[in-house]
Amino acid sequence: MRHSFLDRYSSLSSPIHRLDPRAKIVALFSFLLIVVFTPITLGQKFALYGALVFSLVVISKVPVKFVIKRSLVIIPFVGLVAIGLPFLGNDGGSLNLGVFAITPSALLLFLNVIVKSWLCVVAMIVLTSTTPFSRLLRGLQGLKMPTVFVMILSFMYRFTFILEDELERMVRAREARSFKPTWLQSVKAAGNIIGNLLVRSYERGERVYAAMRSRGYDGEIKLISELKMNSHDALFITIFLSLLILILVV
Amino acid sequence: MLAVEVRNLHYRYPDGTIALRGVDLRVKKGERVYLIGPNGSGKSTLLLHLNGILKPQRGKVVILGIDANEENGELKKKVGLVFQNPDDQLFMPTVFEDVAFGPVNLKLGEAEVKKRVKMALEMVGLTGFENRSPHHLSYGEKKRIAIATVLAMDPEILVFDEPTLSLDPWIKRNFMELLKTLGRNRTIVISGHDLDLMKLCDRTYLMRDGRIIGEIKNRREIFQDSKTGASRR
Ligand SMILES: Nc1ncnc2c1ncn2[C@@H]1O[C@H](COP(=O)(O)OP(=O)(O)O)[C@@H](O)[C@H]1O
Ligand SMILES: [Mg+2]
Repeated sequence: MRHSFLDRYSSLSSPIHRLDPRAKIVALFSFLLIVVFTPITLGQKFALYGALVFSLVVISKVPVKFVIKRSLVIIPFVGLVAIGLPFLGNDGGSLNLGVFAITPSALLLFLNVIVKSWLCVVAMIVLTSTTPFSRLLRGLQGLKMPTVFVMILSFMYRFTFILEDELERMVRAREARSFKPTWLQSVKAAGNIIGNLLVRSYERGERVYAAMRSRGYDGEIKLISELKMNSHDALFITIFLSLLILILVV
Repeated sequence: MLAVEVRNLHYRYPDGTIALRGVDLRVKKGERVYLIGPNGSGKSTLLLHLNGILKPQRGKVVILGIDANEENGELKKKVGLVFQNPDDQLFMPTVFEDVAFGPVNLKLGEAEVKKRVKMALEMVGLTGFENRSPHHLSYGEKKRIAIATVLAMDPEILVFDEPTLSLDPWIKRNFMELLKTLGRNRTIVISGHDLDLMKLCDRTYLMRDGRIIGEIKNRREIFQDSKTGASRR
């Protein structure tokens, strides 16, 4: 079956795609740190951060529309924070019962969460859509992330496809027998599907584990890592970090 | 020495299903044995005993002189098991890493691992697939990669669980060619219900209801009542 969601577009070819995953991971984390620690009142800095990420998107040839669309995953968080808005802020008057008063400081807090998380999410999308997942894992491993974590991520990735497959099969099977279900019936069917999904994934997990043991797995995963940093990676890191620091201090 | 000796093997799954009810099987070194039998007759369960994934609950399994109840992982080096469903067998992010998984666990050096991967992919005709993701491949390709993951370990005994199940005739022929190239110095156990594989094996045993009920010499015997029971005509 054709899956691709997390690292869709990661097989394109662009200067960003060709970078060593470690260079990109380091760049991402510096970006996250700097964005998070910039005071929200400095609006123009955030505009520049945004410009920086989106110039990477343009260079990488990943469609801007795709990045924006995917970045909308933060909407639920926006909603969550927005609900709390009337109760936030500490300059008084925000808890007036009857009329909901939103104070300027609450608004600022709101912006703080939204703007920063959105920028971070966009940056992560740039990383994942320019790096095939296997290279990303190898990059993390190259940066000395414990093998256990790398393997957990690897399995998560692998198992999302298995889950997706199983789900697709069951949904198709249900549709093939569908008969205009009432609301209650479709809720029941959904419950069944979820339960089944759990059982099937569990059994699948057991079999995968048996296959791993069959090939000598003894609790420790060994990987062959073959990454090479070159001058392009050094150049990228230098330019990217300089720009970041420039935006921060100027 | 016998490669495989199974005596009066019983197995009951935790949910109470009785899968094996006294299996007896002897395979000589270098012999090719085909286990044929309907779905649910216990073929997969039996094969999982051959490399120590399942331990005998009753009865005995001895592989190349090693008692399965006393071993500690050696059997997995000597017996390569290709699972029925390739989705169970492929779990690494790239084909290279998946095929290298076994050799790396055998603690072979990096150069040797690469050599093994290259050889195994060549044998299944998928050279050049190293950097692909296993879960983006077609079913037939997955099946062949699954075989490569085991060939790369170069085990003394090869076990294939339903290798030709739901393969198209072209890939099935591929597999049969592969069997021919594997040479005669390796013991091979295959399960399935594909009658075409009979002619590539030295012996064919019929399995039914958790037992091996006898040897089959020609195709027609499979459907005869004396061997398979009156219910299956
Ligand atoms: N994990 C399991 N748990 C419970 N029962 C199982 C399990 N796997 C197989 N069985 C049952 O054991 C019997 C033998 O199954 P199996 O060895 O898979 O047969 P075959 O490979 O010949 O189709 C069947 O009745 C099957 O339903
Ligand atoms: Mg089976």
